[in-house]
Amino acid sequence: MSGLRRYHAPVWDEPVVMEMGSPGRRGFIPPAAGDADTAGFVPDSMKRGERAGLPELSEAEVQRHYIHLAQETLGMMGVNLFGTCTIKYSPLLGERISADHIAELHPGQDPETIQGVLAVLHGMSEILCELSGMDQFVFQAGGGADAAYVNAVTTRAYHADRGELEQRNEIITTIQTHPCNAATAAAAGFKVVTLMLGEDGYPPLEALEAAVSERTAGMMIGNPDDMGIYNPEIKQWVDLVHEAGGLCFYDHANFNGAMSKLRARELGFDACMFMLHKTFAAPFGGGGPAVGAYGCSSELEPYMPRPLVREQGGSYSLEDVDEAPKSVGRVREYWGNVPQIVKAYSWVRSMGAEGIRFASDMSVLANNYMEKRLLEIPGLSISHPDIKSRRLEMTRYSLGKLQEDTGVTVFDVQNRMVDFGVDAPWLSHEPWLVPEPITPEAGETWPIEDLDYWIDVLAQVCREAYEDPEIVKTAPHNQAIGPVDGSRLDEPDQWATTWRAYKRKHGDRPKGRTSP
Amino acid sequence: MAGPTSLRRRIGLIVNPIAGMGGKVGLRGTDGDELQRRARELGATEMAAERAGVALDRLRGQGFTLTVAGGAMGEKVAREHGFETEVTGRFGCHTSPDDTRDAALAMADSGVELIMFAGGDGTARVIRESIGRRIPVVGIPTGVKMHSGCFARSPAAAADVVAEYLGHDPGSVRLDEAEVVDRDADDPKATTTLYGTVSVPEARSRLLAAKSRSSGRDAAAMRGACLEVVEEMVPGDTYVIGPGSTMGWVRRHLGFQSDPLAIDVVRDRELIAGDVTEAELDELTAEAGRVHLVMGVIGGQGSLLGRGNQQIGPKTLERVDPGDLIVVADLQKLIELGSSPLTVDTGDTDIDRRFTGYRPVRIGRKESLIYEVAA
Repeated sequence: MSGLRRYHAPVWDEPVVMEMGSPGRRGFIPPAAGDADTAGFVPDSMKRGERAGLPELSEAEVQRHYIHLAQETLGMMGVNLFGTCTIKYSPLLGERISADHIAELHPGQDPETIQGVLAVLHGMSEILCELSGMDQFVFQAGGGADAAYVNAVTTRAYHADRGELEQRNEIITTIQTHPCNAATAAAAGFKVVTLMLGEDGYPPLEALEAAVSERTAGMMIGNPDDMGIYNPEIKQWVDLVHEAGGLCFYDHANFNGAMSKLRARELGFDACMFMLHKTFAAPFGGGGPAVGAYGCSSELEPYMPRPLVREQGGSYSLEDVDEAPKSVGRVREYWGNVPQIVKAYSWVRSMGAEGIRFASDMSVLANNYMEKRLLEIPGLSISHPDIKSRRLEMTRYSLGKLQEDTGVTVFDVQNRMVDFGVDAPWLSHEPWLVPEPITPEAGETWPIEDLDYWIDVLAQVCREAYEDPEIVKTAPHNQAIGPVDGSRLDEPDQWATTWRAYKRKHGDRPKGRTSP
Repeated sequence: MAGPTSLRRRIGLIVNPIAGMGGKVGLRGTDGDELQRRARELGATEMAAERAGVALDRLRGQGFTLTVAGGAMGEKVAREHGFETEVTGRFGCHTSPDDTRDAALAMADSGVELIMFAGGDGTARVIRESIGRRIPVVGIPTGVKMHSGCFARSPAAAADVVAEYLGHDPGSVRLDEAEVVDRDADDPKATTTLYGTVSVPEARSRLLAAKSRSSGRDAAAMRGACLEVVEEMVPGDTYVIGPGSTMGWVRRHLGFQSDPLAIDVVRDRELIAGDVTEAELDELTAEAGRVHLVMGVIGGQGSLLGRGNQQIGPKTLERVDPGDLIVVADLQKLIELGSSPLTVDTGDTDIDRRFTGYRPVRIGRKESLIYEVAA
């Protein structure tokens, strides 16, 4: 393994914070309230009967504890080609701007005093309207699935207003569209009709024809899908759904490869969603709160969530729920995760239209570069090998042959890859359509050296699978932890996500030693 | 001190030495002496032991005791591959279904936890008759016909299922029901028949096709889908409930159970006729108003009508509006069909044509998948 880096993650036997410290230990002691009259400040019904069971540690212990935990995350700071997630570097500039300028604002302030941040929100909406052809965006949703939910409830409000909701109770999606679309449609009370893929890698038009009816409320679909396959018949799809009286929602989860190349509205879609934490380089997932930007046509605008930022003569104001009687209202508090919107705005303004186009081209080029090298790895194959057209910004592969030949599963491969200092790759959303799936996405962020290194690591792990499968099956070896048996992860008796639940399920365990 | 062997896990192996011999010489199976003789005449060689050997090699070092059927039915191949074994019974080179039956029973009686068997649908059928769902089984695909749900995709995959099973404490592995189906090997036009179910480890990651690690989803989804079917039943309408394990949920929601092979007739959520013949069904539906068919998908071939449910004959089918054919199937089962369509093959092409096209299949409560049905 000549070219691969020598790596070992820090290993800590870190206790749970509740097991650390000592009674009475403090990190920070605020001044006493003195003589201030606090009687009645907290209603009796909300007062605690006894003191909260909080950990008692010094500030240094707390810092050290969380640094240790951060060192045990198995990555998310390495070369991360986590497919379907469009991982990008989030520039520090955005962090600085939001920390220096946003942290001290409050959304309850008089709009006159926060014209700057309202201008940013308005500007971001304008930019996304330019990219999508939609008429208005709202940033309330706290993630992609939340934005899909916004679409489901907006669709519901639209049909209810027209008196057709009872009749229109079905949402159509495809098996390779992100499952949050089906899930949020169901959460909003719709039945879900899913289309299976045909031989071209996307569902045949005949399947959609069989699915649409007077019961169709709408269609929620991603394109390209998670296999990187673009459905070229999408305009006919939209037309079919419209003819049946349904609304069309474009989940732009995989926007990178299509960014600046198409506009959802021009394809006929009524609404769409961007994830500012993916395509627009705000920190991702656990790295920061997310934003699902939901945009729609002027026809749907009365139904979309409020508040919206309105501009008149260079002055910005908020249009709230009480001014929009047909609006679904709020799906979240205030205006959404504003620091993230500011980071995304700073990124997209620094990129400009040319930069956006270049980033899109780079992401497709990088993926196709990877495909060429990856397909040389024994045991790895591409999904839908008979399709001749190129994939866009990501490609789904299968390690089914590797598993068949060696017994090494794609989970084992994930576990072994992290031994070389890259992050575990994404496999596939449920359900798996190819055996042992693996889905890298290069994006435009990573230099070619990083892509090559990642490919070298996968090639090494596959070679090991054939030569010494045990080393892969028992991985990770150089990580913060060894392999975890996931077989009982869904058994409620076994697991607790809070200390209180842990004590309830397993009883008090003796207080362990404190951290060194 | 008890010897370490008493703590060791015990796995059984039964090899049907003649399984699969017919395939390479153009026979559709080797059920019965006559077909076996013809297979040998045509130059077929025994391949079951070889495939069992592939699985055994992959299980080396797993630290379990292998209990084998004697002679060519497991003992020989286990020895050749260096396994210490316990042997149940002695069998010569000419083996019969009775030998398989006896071996499976002896293994289950003696506390073997799981039986691996190398064979095809015929072997699976015999083992089901012998031990039912007493202990789980894993099929090493060897036969010509492997449409039952208990087969792994390959010998290596079968070994992986067993290894995964051994990785858990005895009794802590969730078990699934898998359908056992078979068809007459001598008749090219033969239809598939459902014979019942066997128990398989839920570690189905390598049974048949791709399967992710989600567990429990399938049963819950099928239960929910079938409950919805029952809730939507229109008073006065007649519902013909098909065979199979999925349809068992419809029956349980309605408050009755029947043989997995039976076809039952329900009206106003009451069973009005159980385990009907074609003639009985024709008579019942002739007098009925609107007739709905509620069907599962039989076996690994995606058979919807005409296989395993021949009691639903042309006369009944003529009275059913294709829109009133309600199909419930596990999503994973549909994915495992590998894009090949569900099939209708009633013997009457006009009737078949009525039910073809893209149709909804219920895959969960309020969830359906549009899937192609072909004749």
